[in-house]
Amino acid sequence: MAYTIGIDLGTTNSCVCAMEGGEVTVIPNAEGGRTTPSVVGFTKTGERLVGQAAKRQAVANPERTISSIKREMGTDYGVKIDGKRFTPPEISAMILMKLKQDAESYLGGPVDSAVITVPAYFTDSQRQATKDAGKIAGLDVKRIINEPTAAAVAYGVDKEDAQKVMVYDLGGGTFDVSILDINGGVIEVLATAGNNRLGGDDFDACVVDYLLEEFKKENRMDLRKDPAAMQRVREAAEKAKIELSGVASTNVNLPYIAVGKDGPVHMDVTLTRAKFNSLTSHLVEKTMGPMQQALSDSGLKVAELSKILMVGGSSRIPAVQEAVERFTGKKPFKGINPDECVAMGAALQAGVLGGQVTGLLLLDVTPLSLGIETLGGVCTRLIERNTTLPITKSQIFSTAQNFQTSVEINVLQGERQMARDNRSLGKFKLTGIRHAMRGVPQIEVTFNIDANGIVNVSAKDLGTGKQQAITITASSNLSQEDIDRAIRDAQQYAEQDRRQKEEATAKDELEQLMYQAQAARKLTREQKQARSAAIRNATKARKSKDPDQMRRSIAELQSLIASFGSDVEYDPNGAQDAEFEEEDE
Amino acid sequence: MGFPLVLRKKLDQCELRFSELEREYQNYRRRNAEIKEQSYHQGGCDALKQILPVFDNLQRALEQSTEDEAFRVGIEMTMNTLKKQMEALGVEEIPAMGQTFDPNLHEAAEHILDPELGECVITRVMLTGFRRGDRILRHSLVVVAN
Repeated sequence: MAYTIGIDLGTTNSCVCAMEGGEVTVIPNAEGGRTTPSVVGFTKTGERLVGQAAKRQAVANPERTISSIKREMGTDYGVKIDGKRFTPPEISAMILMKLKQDAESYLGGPVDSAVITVPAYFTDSQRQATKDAGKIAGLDVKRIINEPTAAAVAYGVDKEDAQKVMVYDLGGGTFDVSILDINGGVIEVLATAGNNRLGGDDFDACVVDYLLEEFKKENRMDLRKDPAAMQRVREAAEKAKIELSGVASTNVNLPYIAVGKDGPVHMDVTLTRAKFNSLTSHLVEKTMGPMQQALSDSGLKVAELSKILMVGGSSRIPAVQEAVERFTGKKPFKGINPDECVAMGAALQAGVLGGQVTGLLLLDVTPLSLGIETLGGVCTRLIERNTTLPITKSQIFSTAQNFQTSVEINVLQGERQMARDNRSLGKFKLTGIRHAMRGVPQIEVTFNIDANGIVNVSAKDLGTGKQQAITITASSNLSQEDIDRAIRDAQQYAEQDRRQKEEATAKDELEQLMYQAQAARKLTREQKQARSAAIRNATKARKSKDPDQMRRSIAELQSLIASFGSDVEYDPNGAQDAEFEEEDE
Repeated sequence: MGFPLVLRKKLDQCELRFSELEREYQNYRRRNAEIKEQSYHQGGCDALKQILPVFDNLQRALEQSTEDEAFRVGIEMTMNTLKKQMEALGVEEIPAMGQTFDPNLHEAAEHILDPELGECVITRVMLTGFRRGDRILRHSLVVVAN
């Protein structure tokens, strides 16, 4: 039986969890990290890198490195690499494939499905694009759930009494705040707001600026032009920020940071939490507006919130927690690792779908309003944003002209008044309307959104009973053909990766055996001849880069070395001398 | 006569749960054996990582010019002692200067264009990288050309 995993596909970092023995486990990646950078890189030799390795080569290979692809989900954006265009779902799929592989090697079995989280404000097309990414990665996406909902599940608030909670999520590069209504194991997102260009990196940048200014004041030297020094300052700033979440003061100590007229210069700056707070107070303040916005969108008063859940690495900053407490009048809930709790919630939801966890039902909301285009290019809303799913809503419309026999239904998504400013999800025509003066025919338009967020729109002429309908599914800008092609490409890439790995392993093994054979001493003339022949074959095989040919050479060298027996000595200095010996022969 | 339907259902559920638990247990055993094998080595690596900044600062100190020869020799001796201890613990420097950039071993901090150099060649090492066995303690922080 294959596993189902929970994935937090983040803008900066991603995290994967699974249910094991009735508990959620955070799955470390192949490098040992509990989160994986959402970065993909293509080397010039055609190798594809994901995660830390991709991040490490980003500076040297910026045009072939893609980060923050989540910001582009559901758009027409594309990245061209070696003449091939990759869509955001395809790039995201590469990250998902890495997470899937890491999970498989950790769990010791195949993973075939997943629950993936998305921000609560993601549009229909962004959600669909995320689903497509999962499909391309070879995952059956069982459910797309909202990140704050997943966080609430991880905190276990769904099992408590009916209540309204706020989820404050300050990550590496984005900030989201959501108001949830939890009742009888059902979680609804009442409202959501945020700033997708605000996060922990901004806090680091403030500390870097401060350290550089302090250093400049004292030494009249600007370190900004020295990349090596800047690298050290950036690392020290992040470390200081993390330390200040636990202590009141820290020392940034960077010996030999520069060379002045009189010799080496060191950076020695003490940073207190109070100073850090004053440097970053404007950033904390920036999160207050969206909090207010979400609260007023939800129609609740701050006193009606019973809990505040903190999510995202930057929610560990004490000043952030204090500001949230001041705003809400309640002590924020901590306790679960804020970097991991969204993925944990996703894994719990996967557990619900797989039957390992009981008593939990998740409801989503429409992230944006839905409506149709009416007379004068106006967008008439049928379903307001933040409406709980599933929902069905109908409204009666009529014709605009005398004896009009058909109407075009343009399904719109967005908050703007005019149709042209909103996104068209699809159009269809209802024909055969009864001949009548304008305003007489009664056309009932019905919107239905199911639990998975799939939109069905139908129009019915109540006079004739004629009906026409449309299902909005493939709204990620990718057709089924595109998805199938992407799946094929991804599989091909996986095969390519496998072959590259096989080639590298065989090459290593072959070289090691060549080295060992060449280092053998006191061989008979026949043994030397056999060795020369085997080395020649091995050199050819290595040049061919063909794993099968290399494997054959490996076997040849292994049996050759075995035939030398135990009397043969091996030069500890290795093959270098032996190679001369080869040339002598 | 077979089981009543309700018992059959219950039995099926228990069998499924049993096979799930068995799989999880086998996996747990495998992973535990791996952890046991690696934890001593991993602990050593974690401790060594904390010492690397001392190595860096001694290296930086040695790069400074000084007229106090005895002081310089003292630093050099301290560095040699540290290097010897690290070597004894199985720590190796990752070759970087003049090598082709490899993201599995190196981290690019800067990118320069130099027609006299080949593609992806490391032209400067900003921070020495180290490995211990198959584990990377720290990737070499480097400047890459072209």
